[in-house]
Amino acid sequence: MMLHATKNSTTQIHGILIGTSSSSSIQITDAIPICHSAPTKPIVDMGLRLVQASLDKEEIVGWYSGNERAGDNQPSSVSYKLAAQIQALNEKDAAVLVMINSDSFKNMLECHCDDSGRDRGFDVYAVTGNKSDVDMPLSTTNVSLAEGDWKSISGAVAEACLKDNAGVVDFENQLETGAKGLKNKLQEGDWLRNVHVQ
Amino acid sequence: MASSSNSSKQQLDELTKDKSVSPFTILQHISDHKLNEPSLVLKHGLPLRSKKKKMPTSQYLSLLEQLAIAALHSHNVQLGSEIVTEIKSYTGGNSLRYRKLLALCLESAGDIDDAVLIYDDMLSNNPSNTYALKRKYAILRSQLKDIEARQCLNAYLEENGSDAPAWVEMAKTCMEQGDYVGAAFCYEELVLFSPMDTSIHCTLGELYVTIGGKENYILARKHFAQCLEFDKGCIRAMFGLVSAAESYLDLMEKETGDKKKKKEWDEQDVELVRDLKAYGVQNLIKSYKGSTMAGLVETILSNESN
Repeated sequence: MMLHATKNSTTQIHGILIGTSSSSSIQITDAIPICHSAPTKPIVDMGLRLVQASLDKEEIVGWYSGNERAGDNQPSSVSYKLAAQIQALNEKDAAVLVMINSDSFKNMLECHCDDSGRDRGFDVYAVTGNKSDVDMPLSTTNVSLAEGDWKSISGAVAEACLKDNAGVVDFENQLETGAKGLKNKLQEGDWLRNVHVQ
Repeated sequence: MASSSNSSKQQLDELTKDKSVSPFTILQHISDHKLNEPSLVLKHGLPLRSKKKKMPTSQYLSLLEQLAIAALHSHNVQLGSEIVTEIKSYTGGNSLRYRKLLALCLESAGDIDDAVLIYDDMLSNNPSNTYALKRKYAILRSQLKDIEARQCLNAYLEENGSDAPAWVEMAKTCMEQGDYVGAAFCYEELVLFSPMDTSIHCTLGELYVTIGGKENYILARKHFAQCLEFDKGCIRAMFGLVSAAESYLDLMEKETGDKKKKKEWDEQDVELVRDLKAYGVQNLIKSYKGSTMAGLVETILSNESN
């Protein structure tokens, strides 16, 4: 997510969150970048279908977004609707909506993230289909890491984001290369796996 | 446009590597090609300030103007204000170019209210001052005042309807707010300016699919088809065409249960849409053949075709 935001720092970004869910929690295992412009139905629809077809044991559990302007950290109506549709389609109690927070992102890059997860670069919302879902993000105590601690993980993320040519390929990048780009393996860009990101 | 800006940058790289090239040539190149290279401007331009006695006043003032803007782009507000103050000593406080720079300086320093006063004053003297209108819009956008920003841009477009980048900006603003109908209106204006631009047709098609409805699905497939006529390898348009066709057929399936609505669906048109979908699917599978995603694409499109 952070690399997607780093590469497309002057536009909005959107992507799919995959993982597993139980009655009490949602575990996010990966983020798959979809687009770096306003999402439209064909792009979202095809992106969701391709991601769904690539999954084995995991499922689509949510959506992530980053708004274009610094300081614009609230979920847009579009991001919220997309997360709500994922929640409705999966027939689950909730889906996750992750929003890149520009102020927190800046602090994360400067390695100010603390052990509680404050200044990790993003906010998490639980989308249940009620309009009040996006009034406030979940508190840091409701969002935890499966392995490692926030400080060291965010440090590694900051280091990756600050490298030259840091970034990931999204679905829209692949579409932009056209049919000729698909034939050229170097240009193709595997946005589902982004294997160069370790 | 992308290739010409790449070649301008390449030329700039060559100029900066050649030590025999005068700094004036480098600065002129950056200015002529409207390149965003503030660090290079400062690197090559600042030492020239000491040579002001050897330059005509007009050339020196152009240099100062370029340096001031570069300093502000580099977030060096102090240097920017110092240069703007020097410009004032030559031009006086009433010069329009000086006041533009002063307003930019105030914006960079965060003194937005005083910057807006200058722009409002410019507009009171000349209501068509496009520079002031654009800066006011940019200020409102940066302050996240979306409603006021959209009104400001609307007022600008009423007077400057031929400004294509402004229509693109308005479309972007509409899409951010989920107003896809407004965005489609903007792109309809853009397609009049550039009827052979594939990206505009593709985006317009996507907007119509997103808005939804039978008539919009018909419009969408026309734009995707136009895009593919100009660029047969545009996979984005192929996906769009399949999406538009599927949406149309899904709606048809839902409505043909109702006897009244069933009559509104032309059987020939439905067959045409099925053919268009098959065309899109076939071309996508062909385009992805040999790529890492070939199997996935074939799976999702073949499943939907059955």
